[in-house]
Amino acid sequence: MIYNVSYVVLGGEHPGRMQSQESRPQVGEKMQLGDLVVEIVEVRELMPPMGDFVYLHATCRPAKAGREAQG
Amino acid sequence: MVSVEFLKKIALLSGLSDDEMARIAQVCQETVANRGDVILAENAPSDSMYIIHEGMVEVLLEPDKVTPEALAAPAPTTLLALGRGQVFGEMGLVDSGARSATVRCASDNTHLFAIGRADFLQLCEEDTRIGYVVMRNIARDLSFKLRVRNLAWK
Repeated sequence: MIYNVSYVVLGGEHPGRMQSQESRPQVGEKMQLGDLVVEIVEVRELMPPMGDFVYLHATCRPAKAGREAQG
Repeated sequence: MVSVEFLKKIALLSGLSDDEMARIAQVCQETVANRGDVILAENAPSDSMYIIHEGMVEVLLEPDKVTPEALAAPAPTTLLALGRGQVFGEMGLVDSGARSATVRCASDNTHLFAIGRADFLQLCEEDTRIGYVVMRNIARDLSFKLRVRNLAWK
């Protein structure tokens, strides 16, 4: 499957990101968005999948400093 | 030339056969941009859409298009970053209007595939199934972006 993901960071200060990826984002996962390390707090399906494509919206919050980032 | 295997991972082309994707590949032109390069400028005429193969771009709005607070700040506002597999510039292919935002490269060695409007529309005329499938997918992509935008207002 290909996951078309919109990442939005709580607080509105960060512009967020859209990207396609081959793994489903998971709640609790940490990742790098620009110069910010964030933690995913919610993942929801925005539209029904079509073929091999899944449309997701991931809400994130800034991760605490010093934690390891993935991606 | 862009590979069919890569194009299979692009939602905009979902539902096309390998042969149809090969026809799309023939009209894709590869371009490489580096951090800070402006790929398309707000209010400029639209003549192509882009698929991100590798790297990252930022979508920017000039200050007079956003909030009163932004009017006081001369720098454009970053709306969103787009990464691998994402498409931009597709609105101009649909409505022929001017660019609604500036897109600037956010990482060095960003690889893009551009599809020109004239080539794309000619392909759609020659093969209406390709035209139907891609236009349906463009509508779906715009719907996804609109739903994301709506959530931002909640």
